[in-house]
Amino acid sequence: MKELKTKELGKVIVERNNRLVYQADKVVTKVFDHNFYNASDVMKEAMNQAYAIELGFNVPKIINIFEVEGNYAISSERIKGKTLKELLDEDPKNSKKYIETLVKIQKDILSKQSDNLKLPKLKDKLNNYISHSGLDASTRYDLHVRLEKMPNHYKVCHGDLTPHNVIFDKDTPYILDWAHVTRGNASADASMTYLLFLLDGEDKLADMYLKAFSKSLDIPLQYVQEWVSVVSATKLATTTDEKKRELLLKNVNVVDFF
Amino acid sequence: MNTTEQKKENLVEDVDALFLKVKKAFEEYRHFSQEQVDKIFHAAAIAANKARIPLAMEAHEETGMGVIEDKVIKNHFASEYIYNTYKNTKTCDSIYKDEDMGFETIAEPVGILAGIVPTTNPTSTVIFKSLISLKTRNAIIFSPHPRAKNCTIHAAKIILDAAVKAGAPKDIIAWISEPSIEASSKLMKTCDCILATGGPGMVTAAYSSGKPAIGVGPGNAPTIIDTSADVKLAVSSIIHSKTFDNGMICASENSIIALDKIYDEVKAELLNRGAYFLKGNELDKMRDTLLIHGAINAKIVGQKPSVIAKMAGFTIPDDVKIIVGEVSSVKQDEAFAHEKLCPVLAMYHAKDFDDALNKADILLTDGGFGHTADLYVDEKNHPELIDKFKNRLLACRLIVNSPSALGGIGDLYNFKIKPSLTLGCGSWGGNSISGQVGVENLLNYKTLAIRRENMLWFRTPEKIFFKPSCLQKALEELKSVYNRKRALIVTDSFLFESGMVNKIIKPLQELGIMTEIYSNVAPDPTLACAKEGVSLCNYYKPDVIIALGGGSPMDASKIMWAMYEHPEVDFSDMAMDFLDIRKRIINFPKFGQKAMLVCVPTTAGTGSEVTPFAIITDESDGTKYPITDYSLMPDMAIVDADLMANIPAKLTAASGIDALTHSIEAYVSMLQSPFTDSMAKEAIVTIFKYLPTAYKKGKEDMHAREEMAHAATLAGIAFANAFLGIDHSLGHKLGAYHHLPHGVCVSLMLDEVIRFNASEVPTKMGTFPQYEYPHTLDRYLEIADLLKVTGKDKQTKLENLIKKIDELKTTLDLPLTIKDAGVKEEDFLKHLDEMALAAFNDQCTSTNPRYPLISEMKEIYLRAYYGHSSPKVKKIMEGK
Repeated sequence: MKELKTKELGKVIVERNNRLVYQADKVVTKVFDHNFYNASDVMKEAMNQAYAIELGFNVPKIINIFEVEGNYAISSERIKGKTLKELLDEDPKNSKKYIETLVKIQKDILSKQSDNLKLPKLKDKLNNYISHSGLDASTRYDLHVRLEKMPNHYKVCHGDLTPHNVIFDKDTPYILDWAHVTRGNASADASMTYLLFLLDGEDKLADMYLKAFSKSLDIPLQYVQEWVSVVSATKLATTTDEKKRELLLKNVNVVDFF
Repeated sequence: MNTTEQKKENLVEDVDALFLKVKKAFEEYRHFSQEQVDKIFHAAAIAANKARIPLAMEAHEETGMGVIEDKVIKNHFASEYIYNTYKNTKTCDSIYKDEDMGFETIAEPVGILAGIVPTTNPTSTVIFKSLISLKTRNAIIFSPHPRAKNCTIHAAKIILDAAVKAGAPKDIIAWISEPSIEASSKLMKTCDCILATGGPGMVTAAYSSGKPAIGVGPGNAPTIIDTSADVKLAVSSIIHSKTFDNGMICASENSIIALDKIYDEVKAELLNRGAYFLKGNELDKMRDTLLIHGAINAKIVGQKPSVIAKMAGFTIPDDVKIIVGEVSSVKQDEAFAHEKLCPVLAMYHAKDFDDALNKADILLTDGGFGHTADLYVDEKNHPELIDKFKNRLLACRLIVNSPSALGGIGDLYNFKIKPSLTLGCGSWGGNSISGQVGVENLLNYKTLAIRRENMLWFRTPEKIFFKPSCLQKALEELKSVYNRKRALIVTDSFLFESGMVNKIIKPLQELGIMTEIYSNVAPDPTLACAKEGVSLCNYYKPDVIIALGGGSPMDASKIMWAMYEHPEVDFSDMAMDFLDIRKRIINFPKFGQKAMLVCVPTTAGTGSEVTPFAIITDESDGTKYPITDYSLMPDMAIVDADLMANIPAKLTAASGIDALTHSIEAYVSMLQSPFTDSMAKEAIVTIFKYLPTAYKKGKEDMHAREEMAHAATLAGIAFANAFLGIDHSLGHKLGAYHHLPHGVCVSLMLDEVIRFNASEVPTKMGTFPQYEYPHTLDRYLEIADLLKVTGKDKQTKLENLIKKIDELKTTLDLPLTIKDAGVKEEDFLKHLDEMALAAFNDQCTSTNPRYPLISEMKEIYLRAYYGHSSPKVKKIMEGK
């Protein structure tokens, strides 16, 4: 097989978290920097994506997994359309409608229960992130204790569901980026989406989202908010922006009721 | 393995090593005497008390929360009050003994405790848990909160040192020195019981560790101030309590609900006493400071008002005692409705007392379910409001007219509520306990129960008159002793029409007692008949009911008497079966308020004149209700053999054999006693001697009649106290299904019941303390001895006894099998299963010395039908 070169993958459309996303006419390729990602990380993401397809969600098909100039890459079919983020930016008057769409997609994902042992449990993952958050021991202790309360559910949690990761092929939404998918608790998954809005500085959308989620899934707001401190801690390790860190630290510094 | 995993592994190993050391100490300490333990408890309490100030300062410095002086009080409370409350409590070995009842309670430690300590009360919680643990001979390993690690460990060490000096094993108190979630999880999974004080996460972890846990929940005490309250007392109590350790006690007030009428007065008094009311946008600023995404901001916990205000972005004077936010929503989306753990209070208007309760209910249910609620009210003039408060709110501590925090921990404002720093919230708060955690929660109680005999009794009518022609003399007592004026005579139509009733009417009239007659009693008296009689009673209002006749008029009279005396008592309740007559569910009322009951038997058999039993049939569905209670015992029995002169021979036989079964069953009953034995034996001998003559000669031999009359009454007294057995269970149902006379039925079942009960290896023996082992064979053989029946071995002797009984039956022309009694095989088999089940369920089954299986009841019926050894029995039992 002929070895591919990076330049043959098309133009770079996103550069995030040490990954470059290339776009060609029919193919989108995600290239993982080998300094940050092992082969197994890449395979795992591909596996998650394949599993999401098996579960029946609208997810771009995987075309190839290969090595390119020392880095591993996953190429998938290109969905030609706008992301939900783009739609929100272009048409802010209809934000409520778009947020509801996001909630509907999330509700669909969460409605699936998974017994796939290859998917990590959300609670384990969060515990692990807290341990590596760089927070002081007392705060980590409090967060671990708080997390003890989380019920062991087995719902499929996307883990990174934001308007960036929803793209429309005409009217059909496709869900991207399954790197963080786990099995776990719906409120905690929503709490992550809520936090991601806040980190994007979209406080109004965050609030709109929280209310829409709570209403649609009939889950009290407090249940979702309960996990904000924990999911904030998990973002600390990878967040460098000072303002964002300040926000995360404020969220983290809470106590459980006595 | 990366470094984090390595670290985790080490921690877990540390806990294992720690646990082994503590286990060794515990194994030694658990055998200490009460005296040794009390000495250690005393020394530990003194040491903790002496260290109260340095420990308070250390806790304050390390956590940066609360008020030193208040922490001193908490440490003082945890040592002195706990010591004082439990100093004389027995916690070791035998703590209660009742030799007469053969009962003893022995206290043992539960084992190695895991003590989870919160940051809010680090040293006082350690003092409290260490002391109750030492007092109960438990060992305890503390898991400190990392934020309060040093002071927690120091407190534990001070107590340990004092305990060891007083003689305790050296590792009886221990701690995890590097707290982590892995170490505390490991500790919780390894220990014997968890004492968890902390947030819901920790309590959930404790309850899900798989070990027994005493965990407690969060509070959010609402405080209602009624219009009748002493406002000055209320306001100062609230401020006193809310400022205590800067509001960190879980029982602290979190909201004031003041009734509209006194709202302004309360507000004015709050301002007067140093409260600060938030104005304008300060409310929103405070909301944003109190909660972050619905969770308490860690920075405000245990801080003083001016510091909290500064964090919120405004300034208030440094001497402000509490901050009050006037808000309206009690829902959780209002930050002020949450538990705040600092001197900030919500204040609500309430239209009236019910509105206040509604608000308190929501605050409690959503924020501090099961914990504490408070009320200020005029206790003397409004006890009804206290009732409403206590009945409505689901809080385990309902504190009235006292500071919530200090009232809730106990023994400060009320001296019956136990002092404790671990407060249960019941199932509402997801806890296993609802009270104040104390030493009793840390003990395993062993109960020693030594076999004791049940109390027995011997009850008869107040008076039993007997001897031929005694009737007239006996009736005179109704006038001379009891001063009765209106008699109702209950009898059957035969006795009425034959003029027998005149033997009662005449003497009564001569005595000037008014008489009325109810003569509509049929055999197997019905409920309808009893009701008819009762309506007559209600109209005529007798002060004495005289039953004249055989079993039916006597039974009917007992029921009429019951319904006349107590029309409110439900008939089906009275008929409810019991296992033990003294423990029955239905409580029979006393009879005799309106009338007394006199029974005058005209047959020699039922014994009803001296028994507490009556059987009545519900004519609507044919159900027979056997009713038993000593309330039904007649006041007087008059046994006059002259009235029995003309009993027909068949009735003489049937009722005479019935009396024989009464005495035999009473003799072998589990409730048998020397008192009943003597009556039963006398009856058995007499019946064998005189029944054949009485049957054959009738009124020609009045001596035999007299002997039989007395024998029947003696048998009645025996079974009125020892009760009966399955001969009657089986006989009752045979009669009900196949319409044979009662005496004939019990006679037909007797032989097989004797064989069944005599087994030395019964499938199941009866349950009764006096019945020690299956010995009914010997009891039957004692009867054989009485009748001079012999045999080369026990079994032969038993068969000879049965033969003797059969000879008596033959003499009396009674059938020996159910078949001979004229029951068609087809009919018999058709109802057999139903009959066996019904007989099993009969009241008489419970005192039978052998507890029968339903299938065994069926087999007895079959043998009584086909003959003991008939091959048909086996075939049918095998379903062929």
